[in-house]
Amino acid sequence: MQAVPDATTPASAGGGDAASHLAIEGVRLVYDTSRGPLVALDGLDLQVGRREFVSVLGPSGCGKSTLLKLVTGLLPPSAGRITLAGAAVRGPRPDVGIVFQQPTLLPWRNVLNNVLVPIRARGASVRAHRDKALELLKLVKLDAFARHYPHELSGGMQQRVGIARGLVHDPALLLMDEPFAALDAMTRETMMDELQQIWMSTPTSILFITHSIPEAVYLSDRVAVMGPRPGRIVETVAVDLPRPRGLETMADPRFIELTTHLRSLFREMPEAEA
Amino acid sequence: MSRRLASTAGAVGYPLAGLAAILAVWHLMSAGGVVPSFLLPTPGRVMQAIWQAATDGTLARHLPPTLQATLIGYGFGALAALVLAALVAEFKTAERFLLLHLIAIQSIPKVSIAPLVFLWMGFDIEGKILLVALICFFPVFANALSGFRAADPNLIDLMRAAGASRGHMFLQVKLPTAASQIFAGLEVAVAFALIGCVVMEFVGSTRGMGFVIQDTSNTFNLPLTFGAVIVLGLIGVAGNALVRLARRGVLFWEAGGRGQHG
Repeated sequence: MQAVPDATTPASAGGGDAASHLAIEGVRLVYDTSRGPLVALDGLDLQVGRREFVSVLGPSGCGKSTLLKLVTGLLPPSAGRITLAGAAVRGPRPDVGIVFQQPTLLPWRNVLNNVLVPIRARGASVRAHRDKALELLKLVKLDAFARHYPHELSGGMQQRVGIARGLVHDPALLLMDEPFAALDAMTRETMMDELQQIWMSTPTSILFITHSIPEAVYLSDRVAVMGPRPGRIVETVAVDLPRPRGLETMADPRFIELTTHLRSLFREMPEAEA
Repeated sequence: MSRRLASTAGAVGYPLAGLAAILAVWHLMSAGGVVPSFLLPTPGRVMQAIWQAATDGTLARHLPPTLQATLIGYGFGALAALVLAALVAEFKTAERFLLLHLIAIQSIPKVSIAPLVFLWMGFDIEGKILLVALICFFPVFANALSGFRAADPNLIDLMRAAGASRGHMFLQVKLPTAASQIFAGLEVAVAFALIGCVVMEFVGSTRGMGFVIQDTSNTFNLPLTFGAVIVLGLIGVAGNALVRLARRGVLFWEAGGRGQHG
């Protein structure tokens, strides 16, 4: 169980400032299952600074998606504490934006109204946020598609609608749960670039959950590596590559060094219990 | 254009040819004496009987009561099904109180209580409405319930995190998600509704298509018996077409759904 030494490097943010915006401290999560309690997360510590881009990288089944439910306040931790923007997370937090692996749009609403879903959900004024929504659609290059319906868009376009929806209420944090995992390789690379641009042009902190090492390194200020069940952060790696990053970044010796290091971490990990 | 015309011709042509074949076999069996013609009148005799019923006021007297009871019962049954399915889907307590009993009642053949309904409510329209509503209830209820439960859990999480109220989530996510299945239930319920109404008219009534069928078969006026059955069939087909039309209007996002590309 304790085969991996706790090698967490002190928070050395690349782009964000030092004050942690999201702080997850000593979080433990135990699920009650028919076969007894299951410890999904244990002793999990993670910080995200203001405007910082942090990736959580881990094998499948390590509890990455559980982390998402904790941060949005949909699931209370069994122990430990989570604070976001200075306030403890206790219950649903409307100031978090969520982007899933699947676009998860409403097929019966057009693109603009899909972006406005979080606004309508909390009963805020649609009129007051309409311009913001249109502006975000421009940012994700879908301003010409505001009146289209999801089934008229490609998978990559649908996912971009999801990103605009995640940002429409100016969230304190954007949570992305393997947002590009369902896309084909070509679309995926384009989306990585676009996400970087979106992040650089909006004052957003991003917690990005992925199992792709190059994706994590390419996008992040820091990469937090999660170990198998019970999930916790076994190491945090600061990515000191200059921005904006582009095609040439992937050929950078430092990029290769970081991805190789992260790969070796996964080699050493014990197999996750099924 | 020509391809579209050809496919339309095919869509109409094949069923028409099938119908012609059925009518031909029917006619030959009856006219050729395979089945005595007093038991199986020829299609021509049946058409004649329908025409006569339409002109001499028989249809005018007996069709409206059947249509009226069927429609009203269908409306009540479907509405009750939607409301109860929503309650069971949304409230754990409602599920605990109701679900088991509803499933138990579902397995009773509803027509078996027709004599009881007749005793309670008599000849009038109320009894027909009750049985029709009861028989329409279950296909709509079962489909709606499974539809409400099929809502994407991620979408529910997103809505909850955004602070959506339960009512908002139901109207914006669960109801539209269930719409497709609800329409499937409504389609099945059309045929069920007619069964309920006709059975009640068999059990006890002096008006309605069910009465016509029973009365004419008792007096061996079989051309009109067949005619009434055919009229009921046409009503069923028309009802079904109406539901499908409504479905296409409401679920516009299904029709154009070509899936993802690129």
